[in-house]
Amino acid sequence: MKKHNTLTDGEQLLARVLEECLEEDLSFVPPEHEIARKHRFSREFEDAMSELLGDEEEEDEEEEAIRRHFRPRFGELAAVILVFFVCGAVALSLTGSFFSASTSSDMAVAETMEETEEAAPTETWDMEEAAEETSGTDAGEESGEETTAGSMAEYGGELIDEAAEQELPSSLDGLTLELAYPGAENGNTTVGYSLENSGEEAVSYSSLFDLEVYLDGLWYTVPYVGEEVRDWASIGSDMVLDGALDLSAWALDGEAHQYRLVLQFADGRIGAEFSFEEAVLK
Amino acid sequence: MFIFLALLDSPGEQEKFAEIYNQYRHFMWYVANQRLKDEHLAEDAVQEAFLALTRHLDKVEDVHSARTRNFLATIVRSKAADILRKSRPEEELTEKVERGGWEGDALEQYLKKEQYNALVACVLELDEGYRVVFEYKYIYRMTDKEIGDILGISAKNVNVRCFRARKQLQEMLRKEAERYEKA
Repeated sequence: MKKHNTLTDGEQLLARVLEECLEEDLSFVPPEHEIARKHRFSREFEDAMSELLGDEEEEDEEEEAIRRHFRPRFGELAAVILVFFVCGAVALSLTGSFFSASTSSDMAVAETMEETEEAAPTETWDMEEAAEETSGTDAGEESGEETTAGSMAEYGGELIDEAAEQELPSSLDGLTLELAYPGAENGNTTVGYSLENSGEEAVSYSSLFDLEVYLDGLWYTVPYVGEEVRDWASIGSDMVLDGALDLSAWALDGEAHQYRLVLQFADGRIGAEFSFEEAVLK
Repeated sequence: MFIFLALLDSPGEQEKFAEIYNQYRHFMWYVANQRLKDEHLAEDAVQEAFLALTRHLDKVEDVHSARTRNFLATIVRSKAADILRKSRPEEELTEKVERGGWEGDALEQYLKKEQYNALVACVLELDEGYRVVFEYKYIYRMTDKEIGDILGISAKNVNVRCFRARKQLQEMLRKEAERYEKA
């Protein structure tokens, strides 16, 4: 009987043909992340597979995602406290009985704000973020805008929320997001992107991008109206994934000009900016 | 289920398995769904494929290689073929093979003399259940026992299935040859 590791010439030819046919069949399969965008596994499947995989890793990932999701809320909390103090000071200044004390109250509030900003850098990483977000809000107020952290803006006839982070890099920890613009067809709402992982380890990222719009000096989150559910995908080391997003999945207002796609991954968020004309009308 | 968990005791294997799962589960589902045309049955095929994979992780060297991707496609296609065969018992593989003699290395002779393109055409037309057995045997060089382990059948039955696969391919090649001669 012939050993399994010794192939005749004919069998070698057959092996080559089988491999070629397999490659041909698989060449029509879209990239993993594109399939992931359109398909979500059932709960039964996820449960069965998490049992097989062991829950630890998945739970760790989920906990990390949740932790990162809620971390910026410290910034909002700090901003709310500041707003509370400012409102209190305004209320005091408006009441006649305390008119004479209003100056000292304002000074006390100002001192409190300064103390908060000065104390922030000595706190933990979370508090640094909070201080940054707070100072970002103050900058908006100083420029004459009535925006605060967590403020809203009118867009497409609706009020939309301010983005969680105003400053986003396009590259972080080896992960780079770049945009490749679509073809010349007018009315094309698809924008191409390229995600590169130049790091040494695979990176998990959210398969659902966020879209943010720049309005009056701040970034705001454009509501997602598509049907896709947020899931986690993975990009291997030294890999580049090219994909396309249909912007019609977001409640777009054609009048706005500056947008950015935001990708959340395990260690942070990255964004890539584009203008409406470039992405849709070019 | 716990038997499979026990096989993934090594942290290295668990890590590799998780990496494969994260990178290829949607791809495998897509491949299965192409055959089954049913999202839930495709999920069953993917799950079965991963269960089978736990016992053959040693066949995967580089998680990100094309060979690994192809290997996973073969596994999930074989599971999809199993599901299809069970749902349509009238399409048992055995009934597709015409009865009659098969002489030793006749297929070998056809493989030598037939044109490459004719062989490609025949392989593409081959029953999925037979084609995956060929892939396991000739691309991934697995033994009958290893193939049987993945397919959930005995090594002897793998041998029988391989025999029938060769016979079907030989018949297809013979018809191709006749068509070529007439032309």
